[in-house]
Amino acid sequence: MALFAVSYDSVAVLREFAERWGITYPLLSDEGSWTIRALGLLNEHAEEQVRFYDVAPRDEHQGIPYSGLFLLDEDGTIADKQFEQSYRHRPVAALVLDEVLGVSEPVPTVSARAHVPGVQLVAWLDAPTYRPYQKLRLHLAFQLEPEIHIYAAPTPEGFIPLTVEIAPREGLSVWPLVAPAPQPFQVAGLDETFLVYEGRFRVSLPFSIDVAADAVTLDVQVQYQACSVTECYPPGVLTLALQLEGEDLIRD
Amino acid sequence: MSDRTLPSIDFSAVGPAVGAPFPDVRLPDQHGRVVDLHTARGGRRALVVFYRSARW
Repeated sequence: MALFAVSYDSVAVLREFAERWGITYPLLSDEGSWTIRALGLLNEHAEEQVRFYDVAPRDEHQGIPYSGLFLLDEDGTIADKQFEQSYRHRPVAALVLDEVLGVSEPVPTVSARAHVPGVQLVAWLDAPTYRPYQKLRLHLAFQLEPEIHIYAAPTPEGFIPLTVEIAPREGLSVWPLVAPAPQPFQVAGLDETFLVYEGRFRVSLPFSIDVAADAVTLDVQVQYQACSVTECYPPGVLTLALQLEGEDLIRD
Repeated sequence: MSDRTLPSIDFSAVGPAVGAPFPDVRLPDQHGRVVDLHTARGGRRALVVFYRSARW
């Protein structure tokens, strides 16, 4: 696997940066952003994005690319590309390893568990630390007892689908939940087919915390409706708390 | 932070597409040596990361 990083910085800036942080892979210098433009990757929304953050426009906002990456096959074909909606966001290393390269790290030490009859849940985070605007994922591994299922949307009337929420806090950004496709399920005696999760499955919720803090507690709420073949439990809520240590941005 | 929202960008239409060959890129690295990306990866898979700057 080869790794290249492209920015509009001069060779001198990149040399200093590489020496300071011990970077040995190529940092490519696209001074003037000619390659960034030629590839169609110039961030044409930079001004709006800068305004969104209430930052005064500066010259250095000109010529930045969209924040993202390409995965190339052995023959140079683009196998995947992932870009962020904001010039500030970027994925944490574990997210790239897992989602782009298919390399899963062992469950880290930051984890929490919850269980109710029929449902066991383990939650963990991509990393024990965060920096502002770094995209991490909250992972939830469910284990349902045999015969138990929980509903995905759209649910039967009066039932609730599985939802995962992180309690609102300053600077929290949340992306859509990433979940496997639910399975069709037919309730005995009814014509309608519903969508359910059964057995073991994993979902993840990407998020970032866009302010600096020494430590953050993420309060996670999982709402679900569990049923067996013959009966349904009342809608349930599992709450979990996960700790994250904060590191500030690298700034000169 | 403002209460405006970020513009929504459809990246499937931005830059080279998945399934297409990644274009030839030749740029100097941090040592000032010109790197031909496809030559340098030498038949290996590659990650090509675009980021805003090493300075800010």
